[in-house]
Amino acid sequence: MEIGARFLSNPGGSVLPGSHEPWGGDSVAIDFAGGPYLVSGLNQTQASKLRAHFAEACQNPEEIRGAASEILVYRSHRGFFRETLQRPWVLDFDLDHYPGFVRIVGNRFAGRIDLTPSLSGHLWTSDPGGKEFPCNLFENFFRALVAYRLLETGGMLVHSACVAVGNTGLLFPGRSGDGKSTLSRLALDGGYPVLSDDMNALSWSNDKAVVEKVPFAGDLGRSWCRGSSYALGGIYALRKAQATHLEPMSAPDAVALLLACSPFLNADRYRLALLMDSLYRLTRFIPTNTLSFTPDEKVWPLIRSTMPNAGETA
Amino acid sequence: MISANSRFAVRADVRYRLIEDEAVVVRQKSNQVIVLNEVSACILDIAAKGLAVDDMLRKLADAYEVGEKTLREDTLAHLQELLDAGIIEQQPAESVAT
Repeated sequence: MEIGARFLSNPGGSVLPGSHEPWGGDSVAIDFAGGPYLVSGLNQTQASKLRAHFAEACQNPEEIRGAASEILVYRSHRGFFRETLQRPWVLDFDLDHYPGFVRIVGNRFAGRIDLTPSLSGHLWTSDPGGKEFPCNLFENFFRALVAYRLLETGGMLVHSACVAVGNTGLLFPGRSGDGKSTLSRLALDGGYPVLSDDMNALSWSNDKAVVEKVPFAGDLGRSWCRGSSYALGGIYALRKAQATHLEPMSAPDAVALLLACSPFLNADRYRLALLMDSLYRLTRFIPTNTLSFTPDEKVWPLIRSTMPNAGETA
Repeated sequence: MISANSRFAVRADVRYRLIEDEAVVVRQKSNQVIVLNEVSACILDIAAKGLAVDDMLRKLADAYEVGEKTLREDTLAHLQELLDAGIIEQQPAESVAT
């Protein structure tokens, strides 16, 4: 099936609208892992919705020192996209990949992420700023762009839960149903902050791997705050089991796990080798374990016992 | 049917990387990621070079100290598993003529 066939009025025609007419002259700067990201071409309503949605991650566009990447938002006529799709809106879109760019088409939006000469996004939508605009429309596109931006810096976006223990972030990659939210709730019960139970950003800072909260929605809600960055202290595969125990995980298994949990990129044949290199580099520096667990109070003391400085309070 | 002259190629939607003697294999169409053990990884890597089975066996004989019969049986079994898993595909006869 052609890309976007589910979402476009004329699937056999152009995937991207031809016009480059911005919705307006407003801009929003969103600054977190890999950023700042400058979103331009918005009308006032769209800008206001994005500011409310990304809240503390937003900065004054005039105060940022150069954007790491820019997203230009264009108007498309309403007839370009199918308007009869059933709600509720879900994270559902089509992607296709090329050596220099990626196309993404979803509910009432189509976009292109240019990877050369520098990473930038072009987003077409027929939505003037309705309630679905920030989360179900813009964020779908934005997540993909952030994933590519992080890859550019040697990092990645990972479907994962991340729990802070002191200054250290522990990462629990997993797909839906693997136990991320269960483990996160156990962490909260034990007094450990949860960065996100859905998605986190990995990047490098001074040759050290860091994990950072991203301002995207998760089961535990979205409460991004500036400075939510931690040294990455461990990566744990989750297995639901009758008894709780930890065992080391091999580098190939860890790379496979992270690959399966790297949205957008693991389907991109042009960038897969780079992603694998980045993941392998990560596993050479960070301890990797498999956590088989039953959801009880023994889980977090066991994890803590394997960490250096285990005596520190959370 | 795998014969002495059979050659293979990695399927178009498959990417792999050797990591610490094992192979991480991505089947992009089905969004699957699997890890192959050392032996399977080695066979995949040699098969990916387009060698005929007999040439593969000669290379593998240098790497593994097993009898010729065992080597052949095990290699064919691994190749069949890689075929069944959709990781490699057998090249048509006309494309393997030398």
